[in-house]
Amino acid sequence: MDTTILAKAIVCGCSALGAGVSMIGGLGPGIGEGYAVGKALESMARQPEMKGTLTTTMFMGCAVAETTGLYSLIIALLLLFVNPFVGLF
Amino acid sequence: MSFQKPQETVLRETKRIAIGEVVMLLLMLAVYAALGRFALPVVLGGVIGAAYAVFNFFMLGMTVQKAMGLREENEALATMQLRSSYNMRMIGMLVVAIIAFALPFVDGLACIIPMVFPRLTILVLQLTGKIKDE
Repeated sequence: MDTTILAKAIVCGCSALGAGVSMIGGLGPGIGEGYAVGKALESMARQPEMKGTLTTTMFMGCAVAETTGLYSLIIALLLLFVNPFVGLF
Repeated sequence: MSFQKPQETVLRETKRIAIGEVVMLLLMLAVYAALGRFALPVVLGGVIGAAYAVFNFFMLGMTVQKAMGLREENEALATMQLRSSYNMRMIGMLVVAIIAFALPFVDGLACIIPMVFPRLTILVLQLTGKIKDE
């Protein structure tokens, strides 16, 4: 068997595994955002006059928190579709 | 599924992110041009990615608005709403990216790069003092 083909097959398989593993990073933001909104509701119940500030802070905070999941997704997509390691062989 | 009217905050922040997205998209296209890889698929990919990123941000705002409208007793419901919205938006992003990679006249890489621009826009807004880091 041609070793180049075997090497490419191993790289492709490992890349697919890597893409799956990188998506573990996508779990965090979902949990974190849910926790944050729970705490924001608690705060709002204590100080209802702060609703506007809390909503804006929550909004931007969620957008920032979500980026971590986005990075995972992008790495997974890069490994699957733009695999830079296949070109090494 | 009920549709709420977007609050002023959501519209204002989405507008700021959309402006940042357009500026960064133009910068990205300039970099592509400088590298000699500027082509129609890159522009199409960039526009699709940027449009989805703004839509994603707007939907996040709508979910936060909906969740913040609930009472404290409904904390579990608010948590679930935000988590399910996050999952749906991530799946949407994945679908957009896969379609972009599958279509021959769209550059997939140029499509996924603009999806991180909202974060960069927030960073720029924080650095310029437009958003206070509280």
